[in-house]
Amino acid sequence: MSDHPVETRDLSKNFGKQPALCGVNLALPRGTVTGLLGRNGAGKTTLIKCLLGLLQPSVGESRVLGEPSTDLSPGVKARIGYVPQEPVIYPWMRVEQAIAYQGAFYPTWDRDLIQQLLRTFELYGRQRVGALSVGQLQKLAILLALASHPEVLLLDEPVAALDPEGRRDFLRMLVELVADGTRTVLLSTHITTDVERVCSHVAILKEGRLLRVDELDRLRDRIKELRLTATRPLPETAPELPGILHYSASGPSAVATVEGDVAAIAAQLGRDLHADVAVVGLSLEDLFLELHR
Amino acid sequence: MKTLWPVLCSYVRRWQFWLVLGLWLSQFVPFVCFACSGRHLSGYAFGAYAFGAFTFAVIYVAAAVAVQTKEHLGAYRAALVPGYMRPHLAAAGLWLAVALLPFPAVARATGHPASGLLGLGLALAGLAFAGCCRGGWRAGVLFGGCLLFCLPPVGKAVGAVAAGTAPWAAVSLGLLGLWFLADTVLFLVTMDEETPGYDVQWRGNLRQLSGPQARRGMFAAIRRLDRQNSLWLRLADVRMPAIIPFLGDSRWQRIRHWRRAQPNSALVVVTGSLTWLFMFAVQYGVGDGHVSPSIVLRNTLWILVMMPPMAAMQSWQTRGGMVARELTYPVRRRDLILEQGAAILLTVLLAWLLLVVTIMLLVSLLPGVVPWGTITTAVLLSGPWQLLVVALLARLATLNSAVPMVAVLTLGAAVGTAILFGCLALDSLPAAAGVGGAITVVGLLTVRSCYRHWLRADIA
Repeated sequence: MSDHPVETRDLSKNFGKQPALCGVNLALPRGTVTGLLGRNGAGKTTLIKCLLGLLQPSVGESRVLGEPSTDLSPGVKARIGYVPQEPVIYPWMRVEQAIAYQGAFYPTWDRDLIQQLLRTFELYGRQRVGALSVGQLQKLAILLALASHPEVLLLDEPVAALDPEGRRDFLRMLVELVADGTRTVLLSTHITTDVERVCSHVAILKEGRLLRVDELDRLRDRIKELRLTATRPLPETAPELPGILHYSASGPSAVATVEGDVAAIAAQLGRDLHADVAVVGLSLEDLFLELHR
Repeated sequence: MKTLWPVLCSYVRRWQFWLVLGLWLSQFVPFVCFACSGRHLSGYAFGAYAFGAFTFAVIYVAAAVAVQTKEHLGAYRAALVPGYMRPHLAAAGLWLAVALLPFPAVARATGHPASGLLGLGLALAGLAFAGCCRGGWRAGVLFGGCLLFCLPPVGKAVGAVAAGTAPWAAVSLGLLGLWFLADTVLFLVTMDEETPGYDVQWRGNLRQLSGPQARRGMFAAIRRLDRQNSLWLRLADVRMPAIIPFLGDSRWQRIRHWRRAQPNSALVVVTGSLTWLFMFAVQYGVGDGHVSPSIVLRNTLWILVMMPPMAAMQSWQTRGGMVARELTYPVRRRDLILEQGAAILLTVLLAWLLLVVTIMLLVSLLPGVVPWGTITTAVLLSGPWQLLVVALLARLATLNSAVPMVAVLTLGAAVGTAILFGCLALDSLPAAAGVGGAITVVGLLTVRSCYRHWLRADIA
């Protein structure tokens, strides 16, 4: 059994001449929840669709549960759950019919879990799918994705349309789901606080390229903000030091975002600039913004 | 005038306009030829033909105009932008007039009475406009009226009104149509989100040229009309048990399951037969038990060529947005493509077979209506033609635009009819069989190419 249920190797996808993904190398360890962050158009949805085999890669390959995404077997597909950004569920069916329709394809369809989720999400079997609100539709899509106890869960902005209570319920459920350490989740979202709450790993995409992929805590340890204070004006350009992502100075104060051995860089900067250095941790949102400067 | 022109142009810029124009012309041009042919038909026979032709033309246009008008006036802009409503209502009125008035004008120019057509046209336009904007009983009156028209006495009465022999009825119908139009305009200018009927709309119909909505489009939108009370939805409920057992590896079971997700597949299958029966009944009723073989033949050929591909298109529009989702179900991609294709082909095949059987049964019961040789030629050619057109439509379905599909559907009908008439002119069954065989080979090759394309195409 592979330790990386989701893998991509040099994955690129172009739409015409427009590149959407460029050489993405990603390997998600089993039992982790990875937050996929990126601006609009960064390629998050394209990456997830390539993983599912909905889009054919232009170059490279992706594998899910050991099989190439372009030719997933029914056995592997039965172990994958997917919540799309815009759920498309048969609008003419009732909720119970949509559940039964999809359930007919899955050998591990859990009717008890469905009943529990219906109660949690306050959905009713007799409701017409076409008459559901966007949030309710999203809840139904989440329910459909979870009901087969998937080993790999690919979530494309699943909570964007949910109210705070629904979001909280969903995130709690996600934590419970991965608690046994056998499931792997890729969660694409814009809400960095959600990633901080539930994700063990984070992958950041920028213009189709994977900027960083790491454990969230390690990434936070590796990227910090340094606040420098000196008795005389500091230079406006950053000193020639490896690991400085961003630097700005204003008079005797400067702020630098650094990556790597933070303590060593801080000590070096303090020595070179004759300044006092305070190391400040970054929130995921700040970290994301720093990487997108 | 300054604001009216861009609004008028907004209709022309949408591809559906050209489809509706094509449908309108397909009714209007034969009507002009018929009216100018100098035939000395009895009054109601002319009226029945004229009514039959312009019913469809007026309903297409009124429905399309209603959709666009409601789309414009249901937007927040209607309440915020000064002077927004007037040009939109004026444009709707102009387009309706452009669709409706040429029929009575041609009738008058060719020496036929025009008042009846005008009255009936106003009634139809008003009903179609009101039905599409508000749904509910107004739409019911329109569709119910069309069904009633199948009854010979009703057909005859309407034919008589159209022929101008019942002026009081024409005036009453005209006033009724104007009342419907005025009532609907009042509804449109005063509606807000809480007004009953506000959310009745053919979503996606005239929305945009490309994108996923365009694939769903016009036919699927009919199903969404009056969503909660639709008979079709209730039929879908009946077909869809609450608990469905695990399908496993049974291909046939899965094909049947995919077909369950076409909510009105039964209706699609019977539409061709019902339309043919409807047209036949109209001719039979109007002709007082005698039918004009040429008109029956024309209807038969047109329906044989057109209806099954339209069913395929409908099937696709129902399923188009769903295939990406279904691709994530535990089914291998090549199996899913084979099964989905088979499900659509099965629908088309059933529609075509039912139509052929219906025609043959009726021709057996009423001998002499259409010669058996003609029917055989039509069967030999129309069946393979469906295969080719459906394969072409399926091949184009992965594009983000519905325009090529509509073009193939329209051109397919034209070319298919031309081939059919050509073979009829040859009056040789072996020749028809040869052409049918050649079309089958091309159709099968297209199916294979389509399958290969779908194996590697982006479906998202």
